[in-house]
Amino acid sequence: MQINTYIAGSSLYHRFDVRAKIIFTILMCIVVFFDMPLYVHYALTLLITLLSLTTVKLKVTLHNIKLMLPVTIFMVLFMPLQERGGSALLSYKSFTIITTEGLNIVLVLISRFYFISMICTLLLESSTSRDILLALKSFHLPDSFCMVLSLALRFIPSFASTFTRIKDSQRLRLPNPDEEGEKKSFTKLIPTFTSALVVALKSINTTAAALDLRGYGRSKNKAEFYTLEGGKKLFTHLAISIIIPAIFLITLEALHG
Amino acid sequence: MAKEKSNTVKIATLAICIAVVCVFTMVIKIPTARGYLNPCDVAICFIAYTLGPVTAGLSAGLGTALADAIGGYPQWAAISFIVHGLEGLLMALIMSKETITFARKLIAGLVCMVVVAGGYCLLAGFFLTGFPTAIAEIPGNLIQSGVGVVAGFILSEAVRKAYPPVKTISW
Repeated sequence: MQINTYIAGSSLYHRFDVRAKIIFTILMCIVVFFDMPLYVHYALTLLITLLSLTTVKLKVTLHNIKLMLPVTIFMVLFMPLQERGGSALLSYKSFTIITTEGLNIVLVLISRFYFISMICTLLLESSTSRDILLALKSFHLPDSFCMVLSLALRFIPSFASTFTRIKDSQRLRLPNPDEEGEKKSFTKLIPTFTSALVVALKSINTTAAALDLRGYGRSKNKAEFYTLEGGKKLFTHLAISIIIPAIFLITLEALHG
Repeated sequence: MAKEKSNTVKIATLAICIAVVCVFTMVIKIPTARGYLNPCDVAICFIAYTLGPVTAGLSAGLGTALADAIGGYPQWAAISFIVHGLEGLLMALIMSKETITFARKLIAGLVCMVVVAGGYCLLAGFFLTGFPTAIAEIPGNLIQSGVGVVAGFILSEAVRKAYPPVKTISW
């Protein structure tokens, strides 16, 4: 199972400090909920698409868009149920199918959904999981919380591999595993889940013993092998990550005024 | 009286339960409007029935959020964290008594289904997709959580028989 979302690159956004990227992502996800004209939503959609194209290139951008398509299609299908008041845009005889207001609301929802999806995906695709965990630590989240996440990320691929092996071995117990194996494998789900869970639970004490052997929690001063850079570069990136949403909000205020 | 658990055991328990929920979420996916239906509720219900409220709440929330982030649906991670975290916590609190009657199991199951279906409907409707689309997802979420409740309870009994020391891991 592939759990690494990071895509290596040397774009500007890759080199942006991960702490600033997290703050920028959160602030922009909040800003996008402010009341703004439709063309501003379109502009945000265009800007985030350009950022994605320059950061992770066309193929990955298209793949990310493809993942959003099912939800987008459903939002369009349910458009007639949005805002029944206002002028009719599409009607059949005397029945109004879509109103202008309904179309506007759906377009806003789709562009907002697209923006939030792309900016969150870009954060994960332009930063390694190690850097994200270091950033969470620098935000003063407890060290034990970061240790839990780090261990979980390391355990996921091995548990997934164990699960697949157990599933295959259960499937081989069926009378005709090659012909009917995939179809009837659901009958072996409970035994598969039970075996996989027992394997996982048995590893708890081993993992805890390994942490104890490494002296985890015994001393407050822990040696750090990996650290994030500080200094002027961090200050500049943090400033940019706050200034851009602020400029956006000021512009919105001016538009409303 | 339960023996006081060391920090390393708690950290190991949480990490492994988060990994279990994450793998269960990603291993089988049925595409829907929201993204996909999956057996994450089976793992969450098992952990809630077996391992206690703290483990259930944290592993359910973080496991599903991680699965969404890794699986290409990071926009759902925050909502999954809140909804499934609350689901695991409430179910485990209801099931935390010494004697568990059928009524208690029924209440825990109903709470699970209401929290999952209602939580996703409210949060997704408000923040992401709009209420018409979110309401259309309620039947799928009810089925997913309902299957999870039943299968989770079956798994809990099966694992207790297969691995009796599981009772000592709860905290």
